[in-house]
Amino acid sequence: MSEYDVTFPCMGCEFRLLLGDPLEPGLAPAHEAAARARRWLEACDARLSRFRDDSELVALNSDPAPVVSARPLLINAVAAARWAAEYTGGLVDSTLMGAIEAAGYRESLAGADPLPLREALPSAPIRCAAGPHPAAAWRGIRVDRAAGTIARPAGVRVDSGGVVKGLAADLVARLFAGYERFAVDAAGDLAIGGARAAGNPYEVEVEHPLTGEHVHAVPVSSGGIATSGLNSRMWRRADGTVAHHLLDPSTGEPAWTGLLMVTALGINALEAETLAKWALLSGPDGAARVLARHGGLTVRDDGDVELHGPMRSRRSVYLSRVAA
Amino acid sequence: MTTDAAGGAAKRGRRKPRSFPTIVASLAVFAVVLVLLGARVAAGHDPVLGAVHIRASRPEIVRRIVRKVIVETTVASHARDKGGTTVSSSPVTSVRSSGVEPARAPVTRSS
Repeated sequence: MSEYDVTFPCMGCEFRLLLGDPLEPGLAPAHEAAARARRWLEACDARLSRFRDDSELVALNSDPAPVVSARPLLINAVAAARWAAEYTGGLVDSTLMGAIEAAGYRESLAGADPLPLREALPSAPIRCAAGPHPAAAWRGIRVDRAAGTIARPAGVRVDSGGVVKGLAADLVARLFAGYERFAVDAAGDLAIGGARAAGNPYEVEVEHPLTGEHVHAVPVSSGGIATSGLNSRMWRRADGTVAHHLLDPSTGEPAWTGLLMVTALGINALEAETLAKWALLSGPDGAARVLARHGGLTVRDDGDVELHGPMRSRRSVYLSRVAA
Repeated sequence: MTTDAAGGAAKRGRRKPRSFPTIVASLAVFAVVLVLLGARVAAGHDPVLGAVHIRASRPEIVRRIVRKVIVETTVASHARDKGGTTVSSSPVTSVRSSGVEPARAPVTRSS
């Protein structure tokens, strides 16, 4: 089996597309389909970035009207953010824009070297599981697909950054359904599938956040696998304290739960990404419960790796696509 | 004396060979040798060239060389963030991998 393999920068990270040959007549060759998907992903980045003044997301957040017309992509992104908050009981909250900016994440960190995790850990606060924001502003977000509108409470800004990579990977996966097999790697959040992937699954390797080594390989033929961790976006604030991009909604401060990184499996990349963030914010004990169904991997502060649910088995993991 | 008489009788019994049968016999021997040599040369056994060993025909060896072509393009565009700082983008790399050399495995990491 031959595959087309392309890597490119997108959404401030590195994306990768792996695509086998088309199986249905009329489908474009792999390199053309991948080029089309790449253009779409770059457009997705431009339209949904909170760092671009001309993006649709910035336009939504700066519009004072309670109900705003939006194009389907933005509607999908806001709906995904709303779904993630509902699914996780408010732990994966996309309405914390003010808090993330207050923590120091106001500009894109693309290309910037994050603060090393080993340097940050000694000065991190006491570990505890995160909790939902009591106001749960996300409940006020309403998406009307038929009307093409988004409604949100006054003053609430939406940051789709927590879900957009998984969503984008899933949408590209739809384009690749008629190919032998594919992996859409949106900076570590992967959508995997293809008509012949069941007999030849990808061995997805999991990278350790402290050592950079590959500590585990998970066979995946269909579905999603994603990783959430502190080390990718970490910085030191002006007062000398360490911050990162995963906030505890209950405090609005960076979450230090005793876990450095979580990898989760899901029926698609969006669910896997949401589960990974949910598990990480829940701390070691809560993560075991979150990951029990589809499986996952956690890395504690001391670097210890633990497998959960179906990932404990070395057998191939075949996740059937189930309508969410 | 007896000996001389016998020697004279033997000398009398010898005859000078006739030229015609000798020539015919010589030509016949030459023709036979010529035909034999011609047959050997026609069969590939040329005595001038020495022994010829006809090698058994072997199947043609087809060696398929699988090439891995890597096209690397550096994108000159730059992403500009809100603060006006310019961040250079990383290069775009594309590879067509074959079954002989499969693509490196996908990796999931913190993002």
